[in-house]
Amino acid sequence: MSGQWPPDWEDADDDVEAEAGQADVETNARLSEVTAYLAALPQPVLPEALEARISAAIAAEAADRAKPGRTLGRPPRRPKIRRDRRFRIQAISSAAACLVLAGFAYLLTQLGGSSSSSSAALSEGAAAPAASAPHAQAETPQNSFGEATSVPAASAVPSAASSASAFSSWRFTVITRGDVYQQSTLISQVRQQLANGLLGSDTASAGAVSAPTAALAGCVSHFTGNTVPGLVDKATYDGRPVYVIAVSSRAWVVGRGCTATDPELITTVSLAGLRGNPSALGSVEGYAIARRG
Amino acid sequence: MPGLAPGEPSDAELLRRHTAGDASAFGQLFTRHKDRLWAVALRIVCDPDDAADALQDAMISAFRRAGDFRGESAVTTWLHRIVVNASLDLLRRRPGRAVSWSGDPEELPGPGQRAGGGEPVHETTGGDGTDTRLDVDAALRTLPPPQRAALVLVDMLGYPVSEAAVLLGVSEGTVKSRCARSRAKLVPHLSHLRANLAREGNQPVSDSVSFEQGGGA
Repeated sequence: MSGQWPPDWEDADDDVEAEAGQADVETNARLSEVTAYLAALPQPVLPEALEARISAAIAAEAADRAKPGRTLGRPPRRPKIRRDRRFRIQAISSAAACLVLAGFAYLLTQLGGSSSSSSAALSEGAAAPAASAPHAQAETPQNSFGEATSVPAASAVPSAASSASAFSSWRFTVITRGDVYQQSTLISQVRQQLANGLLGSDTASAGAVSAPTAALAGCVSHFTGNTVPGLVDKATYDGRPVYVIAVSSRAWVVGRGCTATDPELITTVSLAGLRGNPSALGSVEGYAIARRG
Repeated sequence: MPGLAPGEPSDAELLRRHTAGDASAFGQLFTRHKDRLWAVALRIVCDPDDAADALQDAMISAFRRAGDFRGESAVTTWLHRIVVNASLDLLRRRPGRAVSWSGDPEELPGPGQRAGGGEPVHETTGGDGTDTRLDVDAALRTLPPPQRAALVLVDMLGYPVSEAAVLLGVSEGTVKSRCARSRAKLVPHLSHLRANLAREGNQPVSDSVSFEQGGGA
């Protein structure tokens, strides 16, 4: 190893025995103090923001590996992970905060108009929540929107490297309308949801859409990488409270406590075989999304 | 590594699951050892931003190279070696942070001064109201990285010389030599820090760590 080092790093390592023999008692005592002092220094703890950043990078790598044809032996080439300088954090945090605030403002706008023109909002295919639905169970983000500016900085923007996935994670919404998924019909149910679109048909009037929590954003990013999910549904699966996450080719059912580092994966299914044949979705498996209460 | 709870997978099992395709296994492994790995990177690199880069690079490298792990050493040893190498590689790619020092403590970078710019990282003790900033990094940065790495592993993180030698890819004698040289260079700076500690009523350091841990001087 040392042969590869710069010249000023090199030292003569072969004369330790001679040095040891020449040290007097006083010198040895002082050197002992150095050893003891260094050993007594407190161990640094990895800051949460850095842990989130590196966990996100690992999750992105895992998502990359999960893609067809990718293996550990031949890792995919991916952009070099960029450095996490403070000014970059601030810049990205500001951008993400603006994004979140803009999204929230948009949601508020839509909420204000939904009582009188929900059908119009739906026809636009916009992210219009209709939280006034009687059985809607709108998800409350972990942080209030007053605090939302700090959320991306702490979790969704752990590094420039993961900023792409973090950014995409904030571009999806969570639907909550009491959907009940079952193992036997999971594939067809998810495909139908994707075919309808997040805001298709009666989604808004029957439930609510909300911004994901930071933990859920990390969870989704863990599975989908940089791909924006087509579905994130707070629902139940065989009676268990879950999130159902889907992209066009795959769906994941995860526990409600899913995070980037603890994904709580319950099951995952491939949707590829059913693509392009939406007519078969419901009929074959008797598909219907039951509604709670 | 602290003892595992009943049913908790071992490091080797997590790595096996990772190579088998478990998407969360490597993340669990990282979470389990993150603080220790961070300490290695931070103490060797002496800069939190660079250390974060080194640790991230190391973890991605370990993620991709997990299939090459042959089980000839503990998983933690394998992980730590990757972090050590990533840290030294980063220092090699980003030269200019080393500080030449004659040994006179007056010439040491003072609190608030960093060899490579940036903000200081220091440990502050309150005591009688006079903040004494113990900028250990400033002293560590005066050491050539190979010496620093040896000292960090043995004296600061408590690795036996034999394991530090494995982590650094050198002989045990080389590790001992580097530790001895490093201690000798740090003596003047340590005296300054110890004086501050004594003024604030802190316990002086004891000889709780065997001098033989890092080899003789």
